[in-house]
Amino acid sequence: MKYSFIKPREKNFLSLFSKIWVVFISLMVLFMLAFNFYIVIEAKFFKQGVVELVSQREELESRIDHDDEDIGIILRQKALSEEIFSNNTLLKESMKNLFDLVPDQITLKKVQMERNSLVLYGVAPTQDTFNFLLAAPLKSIFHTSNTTFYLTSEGWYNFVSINKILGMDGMRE
Amino acid sequence: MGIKTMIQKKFQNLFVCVVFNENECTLRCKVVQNDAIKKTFSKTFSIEFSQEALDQNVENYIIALQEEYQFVYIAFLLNSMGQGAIEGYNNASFKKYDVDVHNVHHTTISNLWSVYASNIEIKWAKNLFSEIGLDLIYSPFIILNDFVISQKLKNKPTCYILNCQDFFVLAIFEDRKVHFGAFFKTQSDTSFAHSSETNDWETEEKEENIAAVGELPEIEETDNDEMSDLADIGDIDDFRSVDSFSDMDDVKTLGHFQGLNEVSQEDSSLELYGRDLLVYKYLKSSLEEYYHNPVYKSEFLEEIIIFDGYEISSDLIRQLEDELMMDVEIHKVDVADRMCDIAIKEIFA
Amino acid sequence: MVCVSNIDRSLEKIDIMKLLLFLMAFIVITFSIVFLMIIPNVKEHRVLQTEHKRVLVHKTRVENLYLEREAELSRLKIENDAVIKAFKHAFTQEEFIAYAGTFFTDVRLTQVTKSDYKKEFVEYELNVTSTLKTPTNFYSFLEGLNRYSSIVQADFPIHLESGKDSITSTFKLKVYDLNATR
Repeated sequence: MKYSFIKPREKNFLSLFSKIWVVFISLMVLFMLAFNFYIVIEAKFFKQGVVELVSQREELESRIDHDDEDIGIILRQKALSEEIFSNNTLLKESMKNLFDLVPDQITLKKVQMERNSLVLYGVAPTQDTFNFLLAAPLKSIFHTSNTTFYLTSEGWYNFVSINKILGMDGMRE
Repeated sequence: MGIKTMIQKKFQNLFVCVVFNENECTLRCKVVQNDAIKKTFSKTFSIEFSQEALDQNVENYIIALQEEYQFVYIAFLLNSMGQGAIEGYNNASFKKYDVDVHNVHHTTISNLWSVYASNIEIKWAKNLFSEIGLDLIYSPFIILNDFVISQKLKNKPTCYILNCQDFFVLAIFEDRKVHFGAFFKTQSDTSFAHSSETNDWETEEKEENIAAVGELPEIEETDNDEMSDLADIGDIDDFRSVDSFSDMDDVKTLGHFQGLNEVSQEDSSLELYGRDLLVYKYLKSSLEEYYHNPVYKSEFLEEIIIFDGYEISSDLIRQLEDELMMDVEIHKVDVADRMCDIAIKEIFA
Repeated sequence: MVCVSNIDRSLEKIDIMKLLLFLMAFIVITFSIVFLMIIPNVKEHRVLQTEHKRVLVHKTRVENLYLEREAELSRLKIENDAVIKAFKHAFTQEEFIAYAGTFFTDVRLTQVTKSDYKKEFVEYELNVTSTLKTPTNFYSFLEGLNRYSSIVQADFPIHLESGKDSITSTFKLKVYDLNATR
């Protein structure tokens, strides 16, 4: 029943003084909680980051290992190929040297090159021609040299020269 | 609102009802908590009535109470002119009884009748309490209504009066509906007087009475003429002017009331003094207004029931019974106390 | 219906009790939040931050190492591209015969059983006939072997026999074969 001419005033549970305090305290609490929240979030971020970084690092490490392997393979291949190529070159040089050694007078019929030996079959005009022109350099290269001469009907000498290198020299299989 | 009030009920709520009586200010206070009245106390201050502000003692006391209690409701019994009661509650009703609805605050009772008070008076009241605040303003009609409905209802129209020291209100009830209402001040208000002289019109009246005795025969003739003038009672402005009895000496303004004065003297076989006389005069003029003004549905009133918060002399009662031919019932009441209860009910449903 | 404005005198006469109570409440709440929540969280934050920094530095170091390796690997790949290709290239007899055919006429290639060790190589015997009297194409052949699309090593025994207008020769060839047990 509304009998009064005027409406009564609003009654507050909290006076202005209390209201100010309440607002102030809640604001402070809010700030502190916000700060705390920020700290917690950042800490979580760091935690996550650590896990991520560790896994990344581990992956990188495995990749490095893999790369190392690949590098090893390549280096090995390189070394191997260089060895092979130098061997091939050496072989070529030896052949060249050998054939350069042979003077015009002497004709080679057959050459048997082994790792540690060289057998030459050829024809020389005189024994001396062979001895002087071929045997001497052969002797300097090989440890042992044996030459056998066979006189042909034409007056030329067939020779068989067996040259050996003893020891660990030469290419090993 | 509902939840707030419910929580508020759990706390101590102080209701302070302020009633002005002549040179006194009475504060009736009740402390309510959990729908129970915990404490009741009163304090009366002797004050010099001022138009602008409350007496400092009263203010300080109330401020102290406001500091003591968390929830304080201050209710004021409006004792100024410019208020009344009419039948109906819509704009048409206000127009019918010549009340400008835009100049008044009004309240509807039971969707049957309305109480109104001038905006100026409301503003004045609020201003008076500006230092301490005002929550409720009650018209004496509300208090009267509360007393009326607390009694067994009469099945025929009855005249009810609420009598206080400074004023009285009159309302003609049929069942729960008010047909006619009037507010009369019986105490001079210096604010309305343009002259600064304090009017001891009680003494004046006595003088008048004495003076009138000798003139009795003459007055009879003027009787009939005056009666028609009484039809104008429904006008607020007239009610205002009723107050300034300092003008009694001036013939120009209150012609018909002067006539009234003379009339009653003619009728009474006993002598009524001072206030009682005034009450009788007002009552009689109100009844006559009620009977003769076609705007009011009028039936013959057989009973007057008076709720007395001040004092009614047996002389007056006898006068009413003899002259007006009506049964008079008196009930002694505590106005401030009842107002407090009304305030409590209004706030806490 | 206008209400009288609310008169709040709470700021004029300050209630000391209330002030102290609020102050107390504020202090208690602030301290409890700081000591129960903020301090431990900040500690944890600090620990995690330093660890994060440490791990980051570590990872960056490793990353730099990795980049270094990658650079080196790509460099080696570029430098040794021919050799790498050659190692990968599957040796086919037809192909080699075609190659040898550029130097010699009458090329024959036969596979010889592998020896037990040196498992990466497959051995072949190469019989060629050269039309020239001089062994120059042998030199070119051997030189070209190093640039061949597979890895091939010429090895002893090497037999040469001169015929009427040609020289027949026999080489041992060792061909690098990826598919041999590695």
